[in-house]
Amino acid sequence: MKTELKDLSPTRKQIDVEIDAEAVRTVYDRVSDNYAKAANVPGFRPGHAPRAVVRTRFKDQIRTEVLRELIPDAVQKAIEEHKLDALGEPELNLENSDGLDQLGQQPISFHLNVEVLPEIKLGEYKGLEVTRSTRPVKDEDVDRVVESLRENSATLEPVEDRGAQLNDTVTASFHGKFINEPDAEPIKVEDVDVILGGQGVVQEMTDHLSGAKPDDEKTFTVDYPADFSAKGLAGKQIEYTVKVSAVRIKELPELDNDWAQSLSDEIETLEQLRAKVRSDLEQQVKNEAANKVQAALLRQLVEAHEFELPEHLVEHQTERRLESVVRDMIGQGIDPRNPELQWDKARESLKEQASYDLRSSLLLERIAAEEKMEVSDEEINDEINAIADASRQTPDQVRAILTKQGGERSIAGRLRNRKALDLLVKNARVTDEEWKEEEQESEVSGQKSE
Amino acid sequence: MRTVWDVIKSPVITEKALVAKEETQDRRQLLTLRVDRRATKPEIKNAVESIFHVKVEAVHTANYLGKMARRGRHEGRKPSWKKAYVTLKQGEKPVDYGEAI
Repeated sequence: MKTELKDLSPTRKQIDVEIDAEAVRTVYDRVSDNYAKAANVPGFRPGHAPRAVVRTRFKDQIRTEVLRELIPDAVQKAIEEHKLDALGEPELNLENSDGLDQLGQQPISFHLNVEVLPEIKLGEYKGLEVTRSTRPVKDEDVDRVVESLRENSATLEPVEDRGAQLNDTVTASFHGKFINEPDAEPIKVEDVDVILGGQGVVQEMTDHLSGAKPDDEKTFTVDYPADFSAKGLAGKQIEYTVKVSAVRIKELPELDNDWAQSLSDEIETLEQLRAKVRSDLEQQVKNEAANKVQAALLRQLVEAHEFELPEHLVEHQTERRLESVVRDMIGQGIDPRNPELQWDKARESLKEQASYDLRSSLLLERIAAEEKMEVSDEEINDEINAIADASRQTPDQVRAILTKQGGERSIAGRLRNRKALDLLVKNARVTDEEWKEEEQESEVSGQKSE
Repeated sequence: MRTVWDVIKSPVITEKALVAKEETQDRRQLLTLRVDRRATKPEIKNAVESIFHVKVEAVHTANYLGKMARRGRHEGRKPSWKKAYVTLKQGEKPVDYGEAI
């Protein structure tokens, strides 16, 4: 077998393979003999037909079998010989028809088109310059969080001495008729809480329910605006018959030590609560900043390294992202076949993201290789446990799923990339900078732009 | 009009024919052919010589009665046919007859 490597591009290699006649003949003879042993040819007792007769009679089958035996083997050997790390299936082009027509007389030759990961010439990746700006945690932020905690532990107290007013919670059963669509199934819901003047509650509803008392019955019509958030109601006219069962008001707990204590065993006083909230917020802000630093470093890295990406890989990733977008849309009740959707554009932008992410992960992989980073079994186990914790499964379940997806290796890869990223950050020259409000929206990558 | 191509119908490729070929004297080539039932030995010789461009030494023929065949109540027989063993002159090249007919 002769092979010759040709570079078509950094990610595409062509191997010209020639299987010499000798090798073809051996296989050809063996296959024909196998056929001859069992062949049922008219004029001959089964298995007694001579090889030549069998060959003419079963020409196509024998040829297919010979090729099936020779080619995958040759492909594998060729790839191994040139130490290529093939991505996906190599593309095969058979070349000379002579070799196929006269099996065993002529060598068989073919081209292999193989996609490989590009060689990445790693530039400087240590000591990258990056600025970090951490959003300061202000007292107002702490107040806001405490306030929302208080909101969460609010209780609803019945109102008896007056009718419902703004911000009260009215509990009622609703019977609604679509005025313009008498055939439509009428709405029938029992005991729904409606916060007057709250989000997602139309103004008319609030107006009509104001002053309501328990056991009141009211009938009124609501015109939903065309852009109403609930799809089934938008633009419809509905006549409601409402029976109020309770009117309640939200009672916020007192801001005192008792309330603080009720939140957690570890907290005794309001001061401690505020301190805890503050430190949580600070941690969160720090993480945000760290993420930004990572993203910025990655961006620098990607921009500093120009290399070609294997087309198939990008295509594949784009395809996967597209699928998940479509799934999300279906989940949200949007028909992906809607002609107004600009799939071409979406695909284009997804492709860009996919290339970017591929680039960054290839670079990280390359760095990990450069630094001879290893991921130990324990680390993998830890990660699996972490995933199990996060998704409320047992580690064994997670592992089973992973094995099914061939995932243990991908986890190792991910951990390795994370390590490489950590190294990147550790070796970067980070300068701290004043927080500027306006840069809040400059997310770097990974966000879906649908 | 009858031509040489009407005389010879097809080769006979059977174990029996192959054995006969191997058993010919002095390593002469032997062709076994299905021929027209009315063809005479000289006609067969002529046909083989002109089609395969070889020299024929001898022709032996044998008549075969078609096999009985029955389709339900109707009885009949398959067409009868004539087989010709054609011995080529010594030193003639073997004939690959798969394609020429």
